[in-house]
Amino acid sequence: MSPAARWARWRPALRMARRDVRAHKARSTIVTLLVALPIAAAVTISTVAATTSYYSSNSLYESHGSADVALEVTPWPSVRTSFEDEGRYVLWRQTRGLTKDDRRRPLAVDVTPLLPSGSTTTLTGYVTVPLTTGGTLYGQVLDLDSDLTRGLGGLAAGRAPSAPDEVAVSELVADELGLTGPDGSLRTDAVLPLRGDAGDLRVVGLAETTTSYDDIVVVVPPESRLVGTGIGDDLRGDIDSATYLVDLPAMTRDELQALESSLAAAGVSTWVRDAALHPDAWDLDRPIASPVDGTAVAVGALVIGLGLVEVLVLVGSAFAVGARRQSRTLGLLMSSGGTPADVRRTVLAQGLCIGAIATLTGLLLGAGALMAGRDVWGRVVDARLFDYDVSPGGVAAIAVLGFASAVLAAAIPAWGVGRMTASQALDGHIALQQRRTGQGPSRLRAPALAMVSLGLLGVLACGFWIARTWAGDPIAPSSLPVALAALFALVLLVGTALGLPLLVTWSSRFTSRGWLPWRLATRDASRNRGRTTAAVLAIGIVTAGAVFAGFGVSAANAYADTDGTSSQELPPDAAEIYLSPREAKDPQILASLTRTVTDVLGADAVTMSSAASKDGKRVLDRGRSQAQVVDDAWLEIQGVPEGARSAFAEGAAVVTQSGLVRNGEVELRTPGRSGATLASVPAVEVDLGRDTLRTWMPASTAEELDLVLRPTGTLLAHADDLDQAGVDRLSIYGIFAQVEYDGAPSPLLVYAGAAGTLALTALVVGMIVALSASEGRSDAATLAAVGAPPWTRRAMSAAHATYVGGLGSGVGLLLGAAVGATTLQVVGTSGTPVPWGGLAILVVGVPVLCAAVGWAVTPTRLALTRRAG
Amino acid sequence: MTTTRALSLLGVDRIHGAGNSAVHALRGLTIEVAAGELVAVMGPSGSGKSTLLNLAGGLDRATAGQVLVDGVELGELDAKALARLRRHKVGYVFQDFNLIPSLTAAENVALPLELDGVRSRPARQRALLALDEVGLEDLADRLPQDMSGGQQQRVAIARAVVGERSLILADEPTGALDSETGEQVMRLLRARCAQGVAALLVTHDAGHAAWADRVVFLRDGAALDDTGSASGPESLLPETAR
Amino acid sequence: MSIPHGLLALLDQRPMYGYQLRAEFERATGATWPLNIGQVYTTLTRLERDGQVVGQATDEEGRQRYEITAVGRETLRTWFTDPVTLGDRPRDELAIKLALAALSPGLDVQAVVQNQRVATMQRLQELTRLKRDAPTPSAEDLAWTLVLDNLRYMAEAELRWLDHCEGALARVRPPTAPPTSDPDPDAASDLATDPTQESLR
Repeated sequence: MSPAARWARWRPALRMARRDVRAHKARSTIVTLLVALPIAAAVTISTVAATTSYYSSNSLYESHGSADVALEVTPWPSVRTSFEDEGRYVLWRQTRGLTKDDRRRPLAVDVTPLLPSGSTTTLTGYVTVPLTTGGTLYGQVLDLDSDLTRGLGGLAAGRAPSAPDEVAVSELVADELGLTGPDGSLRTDAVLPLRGDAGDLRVVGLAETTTSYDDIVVVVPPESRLVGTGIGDDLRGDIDSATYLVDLPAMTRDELQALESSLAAAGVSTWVRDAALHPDAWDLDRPIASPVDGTAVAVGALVIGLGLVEVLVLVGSAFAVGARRQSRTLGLLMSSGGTPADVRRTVLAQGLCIGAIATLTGLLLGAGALMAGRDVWGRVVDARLFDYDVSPGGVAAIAVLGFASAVLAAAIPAWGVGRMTASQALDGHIALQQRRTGQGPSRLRAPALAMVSLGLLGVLACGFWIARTWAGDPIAPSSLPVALAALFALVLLVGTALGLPLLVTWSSRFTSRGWLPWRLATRDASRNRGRTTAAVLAIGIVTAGAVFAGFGVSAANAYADTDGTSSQELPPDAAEIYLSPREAKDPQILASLTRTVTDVLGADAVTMSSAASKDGKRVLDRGRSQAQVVDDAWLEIQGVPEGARSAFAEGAAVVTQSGLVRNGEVELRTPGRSGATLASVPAVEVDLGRDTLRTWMPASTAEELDLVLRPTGTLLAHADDLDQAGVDRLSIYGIFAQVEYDGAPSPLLVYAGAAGTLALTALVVGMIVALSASEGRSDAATLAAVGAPPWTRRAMSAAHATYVGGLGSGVGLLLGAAVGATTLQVVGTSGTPVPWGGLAILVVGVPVLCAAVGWAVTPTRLALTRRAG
Repeated sequence: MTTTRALSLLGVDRIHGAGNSAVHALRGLTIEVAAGELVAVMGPSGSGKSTLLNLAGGLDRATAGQVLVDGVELGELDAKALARLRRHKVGYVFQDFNLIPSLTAAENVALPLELDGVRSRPARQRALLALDEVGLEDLADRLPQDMSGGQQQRVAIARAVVGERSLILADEPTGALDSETGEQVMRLLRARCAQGVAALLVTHDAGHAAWADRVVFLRDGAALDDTGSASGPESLLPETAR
Repeated sequence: MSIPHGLLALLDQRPMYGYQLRAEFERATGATWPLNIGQVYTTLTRLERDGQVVGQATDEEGRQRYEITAVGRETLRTWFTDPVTLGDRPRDELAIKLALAALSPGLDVQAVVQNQRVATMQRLQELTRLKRDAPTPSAEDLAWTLVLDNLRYMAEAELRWLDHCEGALARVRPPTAPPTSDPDPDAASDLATDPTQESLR
């Protein structure tokens, strides 16, 4: 057959498919969306991921705004440069032979003569902003009015700071520091007070930066008096380079390279955007690919696989309904001389048609979501999205995968209808399936039961094995039992899938009595066993996944509870604050800092430790940690017992490391081989149960020993109910504190998983019930004809939904619980943590939700006339 | 008639199922239809009428005996060849829902041609000709849902004869129609036979069977009797007319 | 069927003479209802006696036209509007024959029924052929077509009745080898090759 003739045979099939899609709008829409939504989601996620990846063009905005090149004027008159990491940044070294005396002040260098005419430049960089709170914030030097800074920062309100005494801060800072009025807008007299002789800065605008929406942002203009004055630059010393963003006139790549060389010769290191965008053209080596994370790949494959199964199951059953309705058409096709191949083509054409529409819709939806939701996605990934990095290969792969899954979903029923004879098709039903009603499931009974039993036993055995292997503190636990358990879980899943039709038949047998709508619904479900099975499987997979995840979260919580104490360094309700040496020495700063901490956190005690030294040498204990001088408040915050504290008040040292106190004394010495023992002081040993290997001594003892004390810069503050939120607030005042991190995942995750499962269950049962209701039109007409009230139909749908939803989530619960309870022994907790809350939500939520959905999707006002065909 | 019969069923058996549940749909049935002849098969429900039609068009296979269309033994053909035979020689007309709802009248008629690989344009032209012959060229671009039952049946007949096909197998083609429309359809069928097409009509309606040249009575899968070739109209007026 | 009423109906259109009446009558009812000229004149004489028609003066060709009277019109209207009831119709020989056959032991009633069925079907085919061969019915031919249809429907009814008879007989007097329960195909072919081909005509 020639290609033209081959194509000609597709034409009627495609035409029919096209018209069918148009004729059955509701079904087509549902199926299209089922395929399109995952495609849209995948396109969106992959694009956002590509955009926010380190090597994306978008991430260049975060580092260099929209500049063509960024200049770093070095203190040296000439440098050698090299592009690193695919042109992401530039390294420089001064040219050989230069001496310290050749250095210059970078800010004083005028770069304009070095650049081609028509270039625009703006100074950028960081300054420290010393606040009267005792804290210090970092300020970004940005000319927010310049296009060059697009991507580095922006204005949310007010105007860009331009005068030397002007500043813009983020809304968070403005709110916390009381710079906004009651309506949330910036007060006209808003001032950021600086300590020392820097004077106050007028706050003229609310700023945002690329890296974060809700962060602490302070933006000063290049003209700011903080720039280059060295005020507060105690952390970094003098600015040792000046950075400029530059907008160049149009230049060729060769010209850019020449410019880069000439600038290097003038002691200016140049980052070039073109090099980062086209590293290959600049002969920049790709970095060595990071080794593939096997776990991530496995999890990803599992998620995609289950998602694909989900789509296939749902879309496939929808296509099966279509094929069943079409069987008369297919019979006619055969009687008009269509071969089985023609019949398959006709059903497959629907897959092609819907697949094409859905893929296009999915891509458009994805593109639309990316365009319209730029801010939303940015907030989700906590980054500004300027240029989307679209990977054509990735999008094509997604499109092909989506299209293929639709075609595949159509192909499954197509294969079935291709096998039926014309007379079966003309009878108006897929006779093959109906005729085997008696034998179909029972043929599968033995293998299904065998697989379920084998899987269950295997999973249990593996659970036992895992518990034994991973119990205690194994050095290198074997992952074999975990892999085996996963294998058995798969066997269990396949067995369940095979056995589901059987389960549907059995369970409908138990409902031969009772409420009429319930009876009708269960009969309906077992009559359309294929579709019921698909829906139950779909719900079951999702539920199993959620339950498994719930077990995971519970296990992680349990792990955190049992294991977490050993890594703690800080007592509860305590925060540690680190200061620079200069700040630590300044009593004024310490005073304002203490005041701020007390105000903001409600702290009842703030105290700092000092390090002891003698003759310029550190004083150590035998555990080689430097002896520290603290006060009683410090000990109280650290949770040192009363007895030890009273000994401390008498002049004894408190030692938290065991084995150092001998005969009631601790030995102090100076470091080095020549280190001599200084003294032995009375000491008590306490076990705080934390990693605080310290010797703490009172000031009086240090004085007796004639030790020199230097503030460590480590402050300890105590407040009731101190948590991360308080610490976050404190950081707005320029004071950066640490509390013990509570790393356990929130049980909210379990509830979110349960809620997600409920939502998907609602979608699935809604679909299947709507399909059944539209198919059962003639049944409804009969019901109406014998005088059933209209709500019977709704009640029937509600019962149907509850039946399917209950069965599905029941199967999912069992599967997820069996696998979850056994395999999650790996986290090393004894016993099995059960996510009771999430399970309860599912058990109660599914029937209620399903009944509601079933009730809602069924119209009572329906043409109650028989409609053939 | 000495030429090849358009359709011959020779001693055909068809048994559905096996063992205890076996159903004899046809037993040793022999029917022959010559070109230009309209043969009606009458019988009560379950007498094997539909099975007979399915066998004649190769939609089903005989358990025993021979089915020949235009001298070709169907038992020797594979599924593809049977499909080709249906595209080239045999046309079906059913009681109702004859037309594919998503195709227009012209497209329905053109379907066998397009399935045969004919390009759309010539297929459509031939379909329009066929529609013209049944007097429906005006409705060529209507969907079945916008046509009356009689119009649909006429389109089905046009489809059954499009592409020089010579055997129409009709299963109660007038069953869903009122008597006046049914008569029109029968007239059309007769007209096709007058042009040399052979037709096998299955019905339980005596009024429509009477349009045939010959009526075969089917009972429990076997031909009970047939009315033989027609006699002249002079032999009318028996006693009841007095 | 009443010939007097038929003639009255024709005369209601216009006055006619004997041969004309006969020709018109045959045209209206088709060849299905032959009428001889003697019958026509006998009937006309009877109608004139009853005052339903009145003879006109003989024309130059010696033909006497008859004209309908008011009494005749009244009779005609009554005839048209009164339904024909079953009691008016002659006894049906076939019904009586089958009823008696059912009572006669040893007689193959099924064969009787089948023979009658073949015969009736042949008659139905012939009637249908008449109808088929006729041109599209004009207003003039309508009367004839309707009569023909009447005969066709009666034949159809008779066939349906025969089906019913066969079913009823099968229930009361099952054939010696009921084909539905017998797997032996020979029994069926026996029945099929029953050599009773004679017509009841």
